[in-house]
Amino acid sequence: MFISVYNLFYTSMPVLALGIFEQDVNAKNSIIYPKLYTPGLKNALFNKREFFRSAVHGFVTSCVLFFIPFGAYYNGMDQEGRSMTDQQTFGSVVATILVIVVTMQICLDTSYWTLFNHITIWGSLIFYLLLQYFYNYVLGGDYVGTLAKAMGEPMFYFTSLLTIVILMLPVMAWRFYWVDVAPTLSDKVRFKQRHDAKMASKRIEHDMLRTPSARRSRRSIRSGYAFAHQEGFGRLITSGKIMRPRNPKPGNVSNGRASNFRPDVNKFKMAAPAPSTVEV
Amino acid sequence: MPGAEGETPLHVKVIERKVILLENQIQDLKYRLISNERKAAEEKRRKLDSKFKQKFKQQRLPAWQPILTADTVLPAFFLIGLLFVPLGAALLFFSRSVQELQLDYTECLSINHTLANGDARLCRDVIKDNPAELCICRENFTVHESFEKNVYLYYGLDNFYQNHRRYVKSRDDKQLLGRDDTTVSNDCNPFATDSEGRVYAPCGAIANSMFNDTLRLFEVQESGSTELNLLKTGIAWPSDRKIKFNNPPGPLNASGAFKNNVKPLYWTKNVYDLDPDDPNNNGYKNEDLIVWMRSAAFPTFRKLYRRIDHNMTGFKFGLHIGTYYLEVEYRYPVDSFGGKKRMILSTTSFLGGKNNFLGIAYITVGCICLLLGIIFLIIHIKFGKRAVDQLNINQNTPYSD
Repeated sequence: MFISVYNLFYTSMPVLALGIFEQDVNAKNSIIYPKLYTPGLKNALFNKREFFRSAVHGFVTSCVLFFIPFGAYYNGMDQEGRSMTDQQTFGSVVATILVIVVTMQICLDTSYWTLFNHITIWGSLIFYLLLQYFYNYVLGGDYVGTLAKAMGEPMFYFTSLLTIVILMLPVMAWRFYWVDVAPTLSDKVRFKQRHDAKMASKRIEHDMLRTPSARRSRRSIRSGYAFAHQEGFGRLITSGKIMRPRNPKPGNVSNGRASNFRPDVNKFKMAAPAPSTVEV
Repeated sequence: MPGAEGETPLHVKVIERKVILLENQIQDLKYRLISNERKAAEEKRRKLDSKFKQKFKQQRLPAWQPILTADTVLPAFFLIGLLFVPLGAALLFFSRSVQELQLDYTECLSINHTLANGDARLCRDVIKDNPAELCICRENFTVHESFEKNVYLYYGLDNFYQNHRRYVKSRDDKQLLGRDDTTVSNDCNPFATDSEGRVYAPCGAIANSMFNDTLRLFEVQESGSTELNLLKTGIAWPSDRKIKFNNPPGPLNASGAFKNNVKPLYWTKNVYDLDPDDPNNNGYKNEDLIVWMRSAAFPTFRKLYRRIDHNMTGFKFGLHIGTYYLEVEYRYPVDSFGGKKRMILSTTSFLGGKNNFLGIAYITVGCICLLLGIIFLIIHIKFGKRAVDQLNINQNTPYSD
């Protein structure tokens, strides 16, 4: 019963949500950095080696999933002395930890957490518990009372915490190592996205903070007419600060021709005129 | 204005034409109104075709995008390491605080059977020759350190595979719920019906192989030996007792609830004789049967047999230091499969029985975590790519270098 619903109910939805919503970089950046498509061309993410590695990972996970609860529940008793080493308890504990571990693994693999990802992932865990309850208590399965008893003992929580940490830590460590020491272009673009988002939000904050004071200090003699008008960019443009030589060669003196200059876009964006600093 | 018959006067015609014109205009305006309304509704729907739906279709839903950076992963490693080591130490402490005494009585000597030369015979040989013979043996033991309150008596078996696939299936839960006493499922075969077609109660290999030694504890004092009072209820899971096991309707005897049934092959008494003194503990609701039916997961297991009654005089605070002996009515044959039988006296703790594994595992994992954290810290400082490198990308940056 567990085996048949495992694939159907407990693990299919998060994977589905992952397949639909996952994106490592947004659409704009995907076009700007075409080299992001290299792994697709090279078949780097799903080939025989990756498959074999995944199979070995699964095998090691299964071993840990069995032996850690085996050691923990070896002569297990509950707090009132009753034996907890029966086959149904052990099976329920291992199955529950399995569902949790698999869900945690999907959590690690998901890099774009939309609302649906949250619903499917946490919903899978809740659904597991609900279905176990329903099958055993309402439909009268023969594991009735087992999971409830197992989860009522603190031993279960210590065992599952230990197993999850043992299984998740190597994966996290491995991925962290690669992101830190040899980040791929995809990682770099994600960093950049996050950095840009942070800068943008800081700028918005900064602008929002500035506006009242800016309005207050916009008291130059020049603004004889409407207050909404700023000084304009005239002084800035004629000063040539925002221009950059088109082909800067060392030691080359520019002849002042406009065609030799092209606007430096980055500088222009940040050069919002601060009225308080403009002299009259 | 009355004019010639059959001929409408001119001004009437003019008025009629104006009316027609006006009607057309009204129609026109109506159509325009309807189309405007429709356009407005579409606009509204498009606006309501909410931002959420648009974002969904364009894959721009608001999302959390975590990245594994050093400032989240390294503290996590250290945190887990610092959390696990004391936790492991605490678990180890709890496990060490459990007191346990094990006594193997597989080869205990009978008190009423002797060999030809006068030595006592081993009980296991006695029952091998004659399974119906009652063999009683005694094993002495001393308690060196007093056991704290709530001492439990277990029997342990070695090399007994209650987790064998075919064995685990060999039961009929419907029969144990008291529902069907005339037919049982095929899973119980070959322990379902006897040669005359009567159904075993309870059927199946699990019930058939029920542990039937009787263990009793005595304390040796100067004035003689006193038997310890042992409680036989409260040893099975409450959920099992309430939900999974029920007696069939009728009085619990051969002519009542179990009139169509016969005792299992290897049993010496009937299911309704398991505890004649207590009708709540008799029949299928007998707690020893319930405890046995919960098949163990490993070949070396222990099951709760009795609880020490701490209302006895002198045992209010536990099992005190002294000399005791165990008296066994040796019936259960384990020799044929190389098994062993033991008696275990144990207290419990917050975590259950005595098990150092969890404590040691936590300490190990905690130490490894701390070690990994330090190693990764060094790697990050020496080889990690800084933000400047991460952000310095353009169209020519290769995918991986």
